[in-house]
Amino acid sequence: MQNLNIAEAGFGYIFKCICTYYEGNIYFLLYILSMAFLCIFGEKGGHPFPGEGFPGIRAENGRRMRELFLPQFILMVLTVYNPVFPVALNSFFDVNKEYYRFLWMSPVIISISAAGAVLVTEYSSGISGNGSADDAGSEGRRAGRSFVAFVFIICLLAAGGSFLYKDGYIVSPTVYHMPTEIPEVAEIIHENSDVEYPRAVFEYDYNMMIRQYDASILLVCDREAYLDAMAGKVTYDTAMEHGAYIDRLLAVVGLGIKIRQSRFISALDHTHTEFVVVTTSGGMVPYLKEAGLTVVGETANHTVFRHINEEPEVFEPADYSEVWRLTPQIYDFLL
Amino acid sequence: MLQAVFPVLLIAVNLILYFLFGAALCCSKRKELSLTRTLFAGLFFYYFLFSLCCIPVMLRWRPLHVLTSIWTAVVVTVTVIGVFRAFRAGKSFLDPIKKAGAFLSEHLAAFLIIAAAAVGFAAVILCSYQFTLDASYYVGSVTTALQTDTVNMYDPFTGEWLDHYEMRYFFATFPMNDAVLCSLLNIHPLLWCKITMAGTAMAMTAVVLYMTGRQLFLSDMKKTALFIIFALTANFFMITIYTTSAFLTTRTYEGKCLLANVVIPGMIYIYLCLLQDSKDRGAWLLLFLISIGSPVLSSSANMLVPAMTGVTILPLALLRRDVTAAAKSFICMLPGVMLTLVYVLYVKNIVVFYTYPR
Repeated sequence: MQNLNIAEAGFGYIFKCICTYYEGNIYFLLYILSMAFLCIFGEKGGHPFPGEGFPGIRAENGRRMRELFLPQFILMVLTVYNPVFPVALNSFFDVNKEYYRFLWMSPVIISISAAGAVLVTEYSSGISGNGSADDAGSEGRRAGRSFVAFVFIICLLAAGGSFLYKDGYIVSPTVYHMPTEIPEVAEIIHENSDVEYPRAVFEYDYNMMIRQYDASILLVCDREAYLDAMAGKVTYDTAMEHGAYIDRLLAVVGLGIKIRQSRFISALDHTHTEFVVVTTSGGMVPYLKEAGLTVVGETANHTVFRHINEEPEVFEPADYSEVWRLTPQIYDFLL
Repeated sequence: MLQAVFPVLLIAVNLILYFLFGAALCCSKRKELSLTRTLFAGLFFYYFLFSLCCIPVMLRWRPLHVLTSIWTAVVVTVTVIGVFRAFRAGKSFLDPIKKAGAFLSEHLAAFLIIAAAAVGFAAVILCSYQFTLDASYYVGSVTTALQTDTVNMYDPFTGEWLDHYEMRYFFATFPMNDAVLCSLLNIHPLLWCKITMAGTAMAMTAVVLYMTGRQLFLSDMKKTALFIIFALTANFFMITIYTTSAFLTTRTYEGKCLLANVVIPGMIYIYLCLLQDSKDRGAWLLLFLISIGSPVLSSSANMLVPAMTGVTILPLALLRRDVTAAAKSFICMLPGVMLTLVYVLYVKNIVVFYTYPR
């Protein structure tokens, strides 16, 4: 959770953390309700503990569910959900970004689903009538169960307030789970480069994806720098500062800021960047052409530019052969 | 789309491997085997053994192809042992399979519903396109390892050489296992990570839900089937970028997906078993395997597994007035706590593992 800070939020952190974790859905509330339901009513039958001979007595069977869910919940309230705990933990090591993972320990899905299963199988006969053993009664029970199951799924939907594919379901365009243009762009780069490991800069999403497909393309801008730029830390002024080469590349390619072209070229030279890839319709194509870059290829939506470096630096993978010779191991015959 | 068939088939290969790893550890003449428990145990035994192979290779700066050769030898040996022990166990191995077959045919409708729900769930996720930022690290580190024939020595984001191993990922060698298998099977990392491992994670999630459901409802298959359907459905709606569901539906290629959806629910399952019988040796073995195998999946396991052990097993010790349970749970917390301490030492600049001799 990048936007929450334990030192700033103090004892209020855990409440903000829970709110951010669930982000408007009420699954946490549903979890508590389902746990209360299971602990109070439990199952009507089939408990494993001997000597509890009330057929269909809910309170006794609830004991089993209470043992399953309550102790853990109480301990979670005393520790993970305790406002003091994150503050104390953070004084030992920085858990700002990861504290939310402790919330994974609550069996939210298990508890809710278990309550649903008990509700449908044990408590839906009231809806369908007397639950008699004849065919009509059996049909009625089945209809009642189906109805309760349907209502329960609607509740799951409503409690979420959102859906994984709320913005539409996109079928993966390739078997690689990548845009079709990624392999094409990689091919253009290699066809036009004289080195095995060309350096390149891309727009945000392609910058994050290209090395998943082809790790022989080196990236000049790393993820954190890109995220900072997208968060507004890179502006025209910061890009024009002396020595801010990465910021200049990010300003032009990532943010579409038209800085002085000579500054952009000096950034390409200094970082030994050979290729620049931008969206054709993004408005930066004329700027890059004016800056002196050459178009070496185009895909459906992207243009690949090449820049000839005045002082090219060829990347060579580190040679460990001397290290292996100096530190022999019994499995070195595998080398 | 034919290209997708091979990675989908490899999901089954993964599950068979985990099962044989589990069989190598759990099969015996004296004890009847549980098929799902064996599979679950095998997963953690597999990753624990992998970390035993991977970490020395990293510390001695050897290339990926050496790790691949070592791991191939280990996999062959353990699977042979698994098959051998299964044969030797004879009746105690075959009986559970026969029983499972009989149970399956007895509850065929429920099993068909469960299978349809799980396959449908997996198909919807595997066919969808998701842009997730973390893939640039997790899938990137697999392609980088394959490209450079090294183990965690280059920055997956940029491809530049690192002068020391990033401690957050030093013990979490899950992506390196992916790299080894991609190298071994000659498959592209994107296909392996986003189809095979994603499908494997979903299959294991379904297995854990099934185990939990059966334990929770004392083998009432009607309730178990409903439980699984509701759980899988809820995963589509409990969606924020932080929830376990988000990892199961979008960040399927990460070890954290297994941590959130297999390890932690698996520990609930173990708690259910121990509630019934706090002396259940198989359940304790599972808990120990989780404690030594899960740090490979994600460094978050180093704090979550001990914490989860604490909040589940300590109440058990109190409820059952069993002091040995507290002692056993303490042993299971140790690996995670120790690895967390190593990380703290790294943060304080006391322990650093360099990518070259100094």
